[in-house]
Amino acid sequence: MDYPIDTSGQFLAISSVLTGFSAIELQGTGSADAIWATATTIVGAPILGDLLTDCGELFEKSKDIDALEAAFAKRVIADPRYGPVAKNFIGAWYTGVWAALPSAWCDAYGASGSDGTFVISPTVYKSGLQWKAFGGTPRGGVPTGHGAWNRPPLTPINTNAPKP
Amino acid sequence: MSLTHKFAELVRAIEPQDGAAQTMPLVPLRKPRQIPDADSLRDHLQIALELELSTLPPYLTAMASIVDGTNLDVSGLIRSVMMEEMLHMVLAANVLNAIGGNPVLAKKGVAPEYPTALPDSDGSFLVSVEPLSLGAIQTFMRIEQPTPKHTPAKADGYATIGQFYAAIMEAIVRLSKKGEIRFDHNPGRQVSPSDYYNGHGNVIRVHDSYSAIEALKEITHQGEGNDDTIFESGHVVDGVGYELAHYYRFMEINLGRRFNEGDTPESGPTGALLPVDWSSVKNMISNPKRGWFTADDPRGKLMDECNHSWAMLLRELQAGFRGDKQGIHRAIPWMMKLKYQAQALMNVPSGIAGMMLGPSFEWPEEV
Repeated sequence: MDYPIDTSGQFLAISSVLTGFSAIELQGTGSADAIWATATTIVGAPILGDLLTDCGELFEKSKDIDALEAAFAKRVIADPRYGPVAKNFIGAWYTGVWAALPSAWCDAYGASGSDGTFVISPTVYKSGLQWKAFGGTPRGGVPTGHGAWNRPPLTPINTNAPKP
Repeated sequence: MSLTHKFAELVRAIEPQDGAAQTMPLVPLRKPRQIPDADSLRDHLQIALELELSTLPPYLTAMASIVDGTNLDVSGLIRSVMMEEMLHMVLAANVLNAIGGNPVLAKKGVAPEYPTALPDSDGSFLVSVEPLSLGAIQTFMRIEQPTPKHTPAKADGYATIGQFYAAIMEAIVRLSKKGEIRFDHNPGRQVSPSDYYNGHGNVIRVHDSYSAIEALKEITHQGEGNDDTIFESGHVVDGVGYELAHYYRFMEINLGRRFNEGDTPESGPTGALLPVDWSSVKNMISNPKRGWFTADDPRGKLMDECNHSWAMLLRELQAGFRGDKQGIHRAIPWMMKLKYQAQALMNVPSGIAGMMLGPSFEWPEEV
């Protein structure tokens, strides 16, 4: 499968595999730069660079999205070095929260002192994929009009979600 | 022949010969065409509905293009105008329903394709779906431009919205005097203050010619002001002051200064500075179109979702104007969603000149 040549495009491409949302939808949230910058500060450019390069290999070798997801499960999520970082990307895209990396990971690979569990920014929180996924909006953050809470969500819940 | 001689010859040629002046036919001064009958009045009120509707996409887009958390005053001003345009649609629909019309919104072609002239106007300027800019604000001022005194009413090819509504009001008075229109049609469709609340202006139930005129005056006063004042007709808002007519709200943004109580159209705004950060605006391409992308392009799909919300908004409003009053309430969340989807599109590169996409407000094919 095709893999972009620029870093931000590559980050969107791997994020798309990790989250199940298209790269364009992820771009639409406007959160990519903030999440990438947070990860760069905490995880560091060398590990992220390796992650993007290795993912590129997985894209090249995979014929379709199913094969690519299987490859990601094996080579990224299950990988001791990449796994916790990739999981944090999923969490950040969905909830806007960067979770503190496991201490074992920090002992092995060294995270920056700014690691911890925190909301990346109010905007990233509001644009979180969790709201899109269930057709809701963050309370108090994204107004939906008077009385809208009394009605079912405008977007039907995605029952077509990928198999666990 | 010298030039002077040539000129004298020309003058002679156009000067009437003896006696000719009396026989030359006079071109009759044409009176602007009035709205002749009830059917035509209903057509014009439908156009009024379309006219109010056509302002929503440009206002909503300008507001959505403002970077989150910046230009709060500007965003608030545009939002307040937009909410009143919704009220204007309600008022126009009330008049249309009272005289036996049937408001149409959810149909391809009712909402215009941008850029567009205002529906049925003289076409002297075009309105675009574009991000906030000085130029966009000046177009908004042109939309809401006050009608100079003694300007004749004009039903078709109007220069200002006020002229258009003046022609409608004239027809309402004339046709109701002649007994050609009644105002007792579909009373169940009348939207009343209890059906619609947004904190801006009055919802007026229409049941006779007086309430019809009152409803239409509410529209023009909110838009362009009244009798040489910058304010809507004496509306006290929350007991703190008077509300500016739309034209003057946009003028505040245009000049970067607030109006003070006591200011007039001539004085312009003399109040506090209204800082506008023109650079905290998304770099959106003007008048984007769904057709730029193939059917399965993810950018096109994102635009489809946005257009779906637009269609749903129009459907719910139409239902709301045809007796299912809850439709108006159901329309609001779609409008909010439309704004968020528009903002998402403004984060997505269009692939053209390094600019971002935006909402296209097109009627989706599948609906």
